[in-house]
Amino acid sequence: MSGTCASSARITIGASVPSMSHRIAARAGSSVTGRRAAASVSAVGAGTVRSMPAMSPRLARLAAIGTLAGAFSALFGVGGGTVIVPLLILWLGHREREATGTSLAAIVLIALFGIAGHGAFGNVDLAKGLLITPPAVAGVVAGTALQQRVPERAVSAVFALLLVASAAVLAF
Amino acid sequence: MDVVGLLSVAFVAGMLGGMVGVGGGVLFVPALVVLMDLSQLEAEATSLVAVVAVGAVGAWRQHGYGNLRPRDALAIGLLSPIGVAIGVVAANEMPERTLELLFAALSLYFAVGLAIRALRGPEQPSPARSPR
Repeated sequence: MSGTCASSARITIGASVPSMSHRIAARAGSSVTGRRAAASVSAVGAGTVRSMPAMSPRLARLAAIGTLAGAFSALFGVGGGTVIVPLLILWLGHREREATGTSLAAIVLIALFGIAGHGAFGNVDLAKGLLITPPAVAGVVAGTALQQRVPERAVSAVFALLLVASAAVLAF
Repeated sequence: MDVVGLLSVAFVAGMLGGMVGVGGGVLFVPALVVLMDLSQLEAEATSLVAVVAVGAVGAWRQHGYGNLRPRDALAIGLLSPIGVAIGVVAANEMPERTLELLFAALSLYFAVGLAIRALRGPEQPSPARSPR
């Protein structure tokens, strides 16, 4: 399944690249943000929202979030939720739990694109990725259920400690 | 190569995904580096496989609790490829050690953010959850 998704993702990336350079050439002199947004929109226009008229501010914000989260995700091998959750709350008025859920769904697509991209460089060890998937899935089911019951502060404290430990291991 | 350790960390990382709303990659990556002897770059790329599954299951669960706005999620995901391409190339061009240190810095940044949340608690009392 992930193989099929990965190859379709690769096609999408390939499709978006010419339109990006096209747009950039056409809009030489426009701001970086404008270029990036225009490029992202043309990528979507090609795939889904064919009859999109002008880009709404809302869509521009979603495009900015997608681009930032995509770069972050592919650079660090994470989902990009750190970028997505606060921006959904700040820019699109999501409540915290809504931002969390929406972020998780966006992460699926972002990580699929990331697998396609990193796969093209031969960096993905699919067997080991699939090995950690079942326990990770069990964990997320447990975590989501617990989230509705356990005080968020306790959860945050535990994970903060865990991350300090893992940073130390990587740095030394 | 410590499979039991790896599977345990993967479970905990999944919980992080479900509870804090991130994909869990910040824990998958060090686990793959330390317990599976992958390079930092390979671990990051491989981590994304599990991130897809965590995101999918997490989103499905959150949808059940009424916490998902599908159109926003779809838009963000479909508008991400340019950013992803930038990130993939940057990760591949960067020296391994730089990537490791950047990732360690990222982990600390996460830790500080979570510690602040833990110490301060929610900014404003969260609105009463409506029945779903």
